[in-house]
Amino acid sequence: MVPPAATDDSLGSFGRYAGPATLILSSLADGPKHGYALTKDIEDIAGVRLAPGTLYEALSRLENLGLIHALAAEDRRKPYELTAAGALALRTHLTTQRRLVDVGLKRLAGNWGHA
Amino acid sequence: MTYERRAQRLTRVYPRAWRERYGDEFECLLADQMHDGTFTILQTFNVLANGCGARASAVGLRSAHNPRALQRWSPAWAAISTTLFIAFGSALWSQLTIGWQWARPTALGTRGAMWVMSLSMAVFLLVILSAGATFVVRTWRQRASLLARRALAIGAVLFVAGLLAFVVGAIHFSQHWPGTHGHPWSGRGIVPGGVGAFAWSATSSITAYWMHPTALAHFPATELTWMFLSPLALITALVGLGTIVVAVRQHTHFTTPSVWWTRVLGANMMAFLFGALWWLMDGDSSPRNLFHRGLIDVIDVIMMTLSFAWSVDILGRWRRSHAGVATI
Repeated sequence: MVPPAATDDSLGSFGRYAGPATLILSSLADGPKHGYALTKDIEDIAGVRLAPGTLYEALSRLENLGLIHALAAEDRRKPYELTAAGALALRTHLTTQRRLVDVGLKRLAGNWGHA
Repeated sequence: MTYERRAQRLTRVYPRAWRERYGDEFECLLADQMHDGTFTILQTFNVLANGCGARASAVGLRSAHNPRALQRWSPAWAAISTTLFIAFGSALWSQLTIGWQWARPTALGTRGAMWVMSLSMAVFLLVILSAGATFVVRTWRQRASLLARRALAIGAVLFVAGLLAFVVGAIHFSQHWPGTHGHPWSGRGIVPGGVGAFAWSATSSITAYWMHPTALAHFPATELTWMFLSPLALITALVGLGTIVVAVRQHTHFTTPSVWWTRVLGANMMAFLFGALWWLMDGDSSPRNLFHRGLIDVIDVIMMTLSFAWSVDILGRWRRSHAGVATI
């Protein structure tokens, strides 16, 4: 049975910012972080360096949709925190992605072996 | 220059509202990356590109999560894209109208296309007049605020000055160019000679002559000046029109794009494009090569198509922003 939230993949509508948005939400799932800490963490977990313009474009979209929210500033640096809606959106998006990964790997194994 | 100063300067590429919300933390991020040596030239381009994107979003020119900007600016962009379509359309249509003042086209396709485009031009005129009257009446009834009145006054001055220069100049030059109203054969076509002459003179800057400097050198200085000044006058009128539309839109209750006139306008643009393509594909330029198709005509039709696509895009995003559909 497909869970109801799986039909509401908010990140799917992010277009070319879906990737950065997923990385940001995944990073924030570990706890609040400000911009610089986010780029460092994303570089560690995914090997991707998010450019500052792209990072803040995705952050502002996520904030407008209520998927993250800003905490009080620490020395001009504002940390961001995942909201409940953000956690649900991330879970839904990753579940969809995992289904695709499973199907892709299964078909590769069936037709291409371990090549 | 210090990293902090450099970061501050780079952040200025973003619009003020964005800077007020994210400016401080963004500057910190840039400065931190500059300190640790991870801020490359590519990152600079990324900041510049996203800053320009944010500015485009702020004036409703980009599908972004900014429905307020879309609602505020879309009427002005819709008015401007429609005017561009009509300007390019008039340039093409007026040449054929002038040609018909000299002789009736031999090909049925050219005659049919001319009828379609001429009727379409009449519909444009009716829609523009009725839309303009609606804006004026609604603004007056809803007692626009003082701020709106000031913006309206500035818009009105620009619009009237630009339009006046444009119309007076076009009338003046339409009397003196060959094949225009001053010609003894005028009045032979399907529209009055003066109308065709006016449209031709008004759009004389959209011409292939720019590609032939030797031919241009034979033009009288006053006509060359007019060919430079007429687009400026039109742009001034357009800026005025945009200012009026934004002021009216901001301070009155035009919450949704009126469906009926946008549909009429869209259908009419399609009809005009159909007429233009019919003529382009007809292939017969007789008699006396009066209805010759050149590269400039192809470019003209491409520009009309782009203006039409832009109008459709603007209206679509405007409607979606009212319907509450995410326009990311």
